[in-house]
Amino acid sequence: MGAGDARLMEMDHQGLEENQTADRYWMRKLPDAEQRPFEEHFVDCPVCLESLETVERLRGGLRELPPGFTAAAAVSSARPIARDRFAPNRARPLLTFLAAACFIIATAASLFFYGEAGRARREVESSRHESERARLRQAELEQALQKERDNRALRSDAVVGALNAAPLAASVFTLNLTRGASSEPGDRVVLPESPAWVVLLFDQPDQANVRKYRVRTSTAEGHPVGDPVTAGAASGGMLAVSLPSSLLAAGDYRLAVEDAASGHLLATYRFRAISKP
Amino acid sequence: MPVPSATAVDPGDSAAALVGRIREGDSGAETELVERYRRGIGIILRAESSNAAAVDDLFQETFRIAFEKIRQGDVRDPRRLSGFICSLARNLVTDHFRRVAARRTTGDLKLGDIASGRADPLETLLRSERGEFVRQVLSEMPSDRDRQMLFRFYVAEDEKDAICRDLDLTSLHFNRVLFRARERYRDLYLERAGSRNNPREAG
Repeated sequence: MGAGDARLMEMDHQGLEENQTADRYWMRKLPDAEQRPFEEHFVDCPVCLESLETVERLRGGLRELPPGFTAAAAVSSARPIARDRFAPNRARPLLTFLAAACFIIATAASLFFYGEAGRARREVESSRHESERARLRQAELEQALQKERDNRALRSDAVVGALNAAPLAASVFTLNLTRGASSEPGDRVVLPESPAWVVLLFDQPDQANVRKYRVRTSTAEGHPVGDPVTAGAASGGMLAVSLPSSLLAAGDYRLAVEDAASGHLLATYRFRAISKP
Repeated sequence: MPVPSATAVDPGDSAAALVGRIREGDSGAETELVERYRRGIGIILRAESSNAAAVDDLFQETFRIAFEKIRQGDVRDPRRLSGFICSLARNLVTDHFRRVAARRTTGDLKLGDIASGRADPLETLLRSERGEFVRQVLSEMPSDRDRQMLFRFYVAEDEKDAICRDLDLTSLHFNRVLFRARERYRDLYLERAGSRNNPREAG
């Protein structure tokens, strides 16, 4: 067994927990030197996988907090505690005395430590160089990421520009499972006059072990309509997908629900899109 | 205390055996490999990209290429299978972002590339509903310090030192307080979400 294997096998779970390694991993705060070995360890470690998934769910949930809560409930409530620490109280004279004593001791000690300062300075200088290199690299990566986000938003604006006028306008339709191939679609989707979102709701297929559902929409003739999309969970055990109405013209359509992992077809829905009379 | 890997068998040995079986054409071994690494690879990919469709594609691609390379004998040290598959996933993520950037400059953009740029109305609605639920759970937590810990560490991503300073905690104390706050939040969340369909999603 190589030295690397031994190191990975003997990762100290208590140490990982104490250093919030799983949390820092999701926050992308682990340096490369820690991240790589940690990844190679956790992909094969049920304990760490459980810990990472727990943190992921927790972060995912907390990050959906409405922005108003942020300032009102968390940040502002942190301040009284901070203020209390500096508020006048009965211990203040004693603290002042202790602070003065510490200052005198520190001044005397500084003479002793002066000789050590040169060595420490060199170490600090070296660390600073390292830190600067890391900071520059991080800045480059952040810049690239930001550029990509900006450009992605711009492209999105260009393509769905027509929807921007009413980004939250959506028509919701419930689809019923299609059994048999010959009957004409029972479900009707009324297309809005101006571009808007069409949300299609349908039952979650009764399949165990399916973690994600992929939905392919096509015309009755089998021509794909847009790219496959991942279905989102809606309330009442249903799934939902949303499509720009501009993708649909009047006619019959087929919506195929697949297991995203295996590609197996799980359910088929058919609907007829009709223009608003 | 150092803890060995959770499996009783040495992971290097079992990985090498798995690679050997895949090379011999054992399709059961391929299923075993996916089962063994799917959670970990999923985490690596989700940590790099929030685009669910891209993550799905990269996940499939990681295992497709892994099988291909294993069958061709391109895995130099089968005992380091975990390292190999992690590197593969990381490289694919890097390539993915390069390709998206290249398509952006040439204008050859697909719908999937832009799909994540703007949340659709349904997702906005669901997110708002979930956010309101989380807000409610947090506001019901009896300890103000727990709320602050969870919010500042996980949402504001404040540095541990800053939180310790503001809340008068030592580093060790911080770990315990954070752990307990997490547990209390999860318990309360699961209790309140009892009637919901998918209580795991944020607990």
